[in-house]
Amino acid sequence: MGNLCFVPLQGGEINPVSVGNPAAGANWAYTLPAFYEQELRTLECKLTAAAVAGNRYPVFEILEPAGAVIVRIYFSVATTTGQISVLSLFVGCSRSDASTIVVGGNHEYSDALPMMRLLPGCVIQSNVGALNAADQFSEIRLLFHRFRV
Amino acid sequence: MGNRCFVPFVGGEIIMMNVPFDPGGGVEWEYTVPVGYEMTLLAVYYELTTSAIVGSRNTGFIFRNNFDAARERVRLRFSPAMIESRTWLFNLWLGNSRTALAVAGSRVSDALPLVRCGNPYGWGSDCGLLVGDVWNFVRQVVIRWRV
Repeated sequence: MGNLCFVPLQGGEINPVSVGNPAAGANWAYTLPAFYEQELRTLECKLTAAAVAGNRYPVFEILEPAGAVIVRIYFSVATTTGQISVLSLFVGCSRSDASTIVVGGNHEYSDALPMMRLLPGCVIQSNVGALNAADQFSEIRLLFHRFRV
Repeated sequence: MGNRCFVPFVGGEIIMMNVPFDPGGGVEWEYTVPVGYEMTLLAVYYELTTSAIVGSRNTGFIFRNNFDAARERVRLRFSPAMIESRTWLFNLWLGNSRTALAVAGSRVSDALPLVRCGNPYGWGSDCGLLVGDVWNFVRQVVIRWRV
């Protein structure tokens, strides 16, 4: 068998999280629980815009436990009237702000996530300005690599 | 011998494999991490020949729970859509710095996410295939750990 080690020396465990849908017209937020430090590896969510005119520019933020923003990811392409957008971000993505593709009338966004270990109490959230009262976030799914502390 | 470490510090073992797919065509390929392991996909190289049926196939690649479509984790979409009667080659790997917004001569090259997956999660194509579209090969390189 030689000197190979067959268990993860990096340690940790995979932690998939599904965040409940916020109310219509609202952004979503997820607060990291106690007892773990976690690396956010993927983030995916869907934004369905109401049939009301307006530009919704997607923005995601990571906040440190005291509430200050430490990372902001923004896009210059808006989700507009009646559109559905799927935003899919991950560590290692080589795409940038301009990376949106229209597939079947829907916008598909991709961008990179920062590679960092987050503390309990950090918050991951959307912060889309100018949401209409009938806009809806859904299918919010995060994938973490977490470590007990 | 000094202070060198001669074993892989990250642990695990490298596996190079062909992924089975339906030879009859028109079916997406997928791979599910088997029970007892966690894996990180390092590279995947696969080829599709589209049939003569006119229509656009929307190219995509997804990491998800392969037994629950609602458990998609992250997706990649490529542009433009694949057309009929052409061979399309996909070349994705961890650390790639290309961005495949546009398919250049039916070639796609892009980065993979840095994720470790355990059963029942896995990955696969998501192309909206049409009848007669056939995969020619699917080859991947993973690093796996026993859990």
